[in-house]
Amino acid sequence: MKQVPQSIPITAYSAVTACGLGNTPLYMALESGKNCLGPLELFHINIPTCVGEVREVLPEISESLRRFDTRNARLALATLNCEKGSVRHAVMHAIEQYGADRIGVVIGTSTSGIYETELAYEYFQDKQHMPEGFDFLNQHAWGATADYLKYELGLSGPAYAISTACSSSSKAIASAQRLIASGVCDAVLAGGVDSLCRLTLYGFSSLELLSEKPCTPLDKNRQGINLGEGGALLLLEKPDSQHADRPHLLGCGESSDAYHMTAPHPDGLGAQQAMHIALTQAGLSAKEIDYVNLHATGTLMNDASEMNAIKAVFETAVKCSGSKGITGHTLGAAGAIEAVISLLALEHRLMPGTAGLTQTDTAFAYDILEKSETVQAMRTVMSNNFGFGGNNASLIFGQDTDDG
Amino acid sequence: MDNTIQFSLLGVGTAFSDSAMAKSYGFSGCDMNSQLASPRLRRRMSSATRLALAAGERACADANIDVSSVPSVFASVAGEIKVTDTLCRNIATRDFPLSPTQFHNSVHNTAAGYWSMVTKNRHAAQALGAGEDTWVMGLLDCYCQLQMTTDKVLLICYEETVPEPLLMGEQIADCAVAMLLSMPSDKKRSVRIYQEDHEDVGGVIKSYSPLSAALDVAKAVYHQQNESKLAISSVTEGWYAEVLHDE
Repeated sequence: MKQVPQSIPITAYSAVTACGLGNTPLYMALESGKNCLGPLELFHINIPTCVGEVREVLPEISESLRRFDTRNARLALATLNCEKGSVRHAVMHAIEQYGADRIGVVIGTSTSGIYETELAYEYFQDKQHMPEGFDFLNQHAWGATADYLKYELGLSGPAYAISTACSSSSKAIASAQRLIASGVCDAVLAGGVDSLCRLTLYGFSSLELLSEKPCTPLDKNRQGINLGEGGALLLLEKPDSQHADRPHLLGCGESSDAYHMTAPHPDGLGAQQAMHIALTQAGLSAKEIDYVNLHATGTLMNDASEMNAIKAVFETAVKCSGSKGITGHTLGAAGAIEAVISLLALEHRLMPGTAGLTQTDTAFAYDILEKSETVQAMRTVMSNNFGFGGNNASLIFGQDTDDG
Repeated sequence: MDNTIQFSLLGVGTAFSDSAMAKSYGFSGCDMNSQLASPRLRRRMSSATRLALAAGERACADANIDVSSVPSVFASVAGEIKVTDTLCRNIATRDFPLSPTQFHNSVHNTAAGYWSMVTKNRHAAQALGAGEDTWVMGLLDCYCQLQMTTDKVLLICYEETVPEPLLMGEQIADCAVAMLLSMPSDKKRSVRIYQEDHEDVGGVIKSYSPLSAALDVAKAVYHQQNESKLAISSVTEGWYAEVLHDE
């Protein structure tokens, strides 16, 4: 209210997903519409489903930070190291420029280190004590992965985790924007990390939301979600002419449905509100959005609610698609991974298709992309993610037109 | 920022599951019963969520504002840890299927979700955690929201006891502290937080008490004591709070 929201440049970004380590394998899957879903190999479960698992060997946590060692922390480290360490190098450059105390870390996660906690409970069943090295505060508690990244990078600014289920890392990016725009930080490493674990697989199975076969978001025969895992990190820096040609975070919108813990509002009222707030903050009208990367999880209700919201917000047709048929639903990491997908779309002028979609639900009137299209120009992308508790977030990325 | 941030404190509310603990901090009449939640909904809620909601209602009542009118920030180290513990035990003993209700009640924004439902509040609801700096990071997130998107924001810090064997030893938990914050104005009681040079001990966690920081500040506010230096973060971060009242 006091300051005009500024668009914030994004100077580096990378993602680790079921497609592989880095942006290149993710982009190739987006372009070809390849689904990277398959059987779960990380551990055994008695549920027929497929997952978006990161199958590459993950890097080891350094000796001095071993107290943080979890699959979540390793996914975070892999995300820092991929793309020849582009995000790590950008952070090091930012430290030289601003100082380590001026750089924050905000990480969205819905699992934190619960995968290791599950293993520890198995061990406890047998031995009646927790395994050596189990460290609740540095592994399981919500702030663990954000703290790990802070110490791994030698940062000393604010560090915290946002955990609002599937909107977690969209909201982490929004918090990062505010930390910079209000002058608390000069740069913020924002993103999301989530690992596959038993709790979410058995939990979504209990809610009868898991699809046995590779998921088919927005399809008339869609049967639910596939879980995925991964990480995505974005370095946001304070506006400066040297970053004018970088993609910018133009606006963020957040809202609550105030409706139900798991079911979205049927008309997507909260989703509409989040999109409207993001548009207002970006100073854009709906028709100025070139492409929408949908939440599109593949459940009957989620997709219907979101498309009702899209229809209400976009009076004329807008090109849109969903990415969870490629990566699986990475829950707390989805917002950040799909932020990277949005940035890749902008960079390559690619409107990704919707993997798994063969027959668009006829209730979803218009312009859902089945196949990828390269376009002449793409200036703006909206990315939506909505979570349990009716927690909604919408982000808009694009080229900055003010100082560009 | 200059590492100092000031808020007006429009309202304060606390909730305790144990009246003796409330009394030891000088509070009374601060049980964990949310008046707004229906009994049916209340039965579905964990102690963490009930504590958070009860404190939130009281802070809004203290500030005399409508519970549906402000965005919220829920700050907790461990969130819904009792139901998470139960689910992990179920998984370890192959006790399937998991309860779907317990599963959706294990997300960190469970309290935020129920708050938005019972108060019909459609504003942004944040749920964050940052180890023992959880309360300070909640304050920072509130400050940034006040700079950009809202005039008032409700910060609720809450914790239920982390069950053994996840965490051993004494904990300051089973209570919640809520504060309704705005940017500083002339005539209101205020909280200023500031950071001092601190010893770098390499991020080793020394204690576990973000709630005790919030309780110390709430106590000073409630008893109208001026305080100049209450430690509110880990020693590694070096954050302190000053509480000032109207003259």
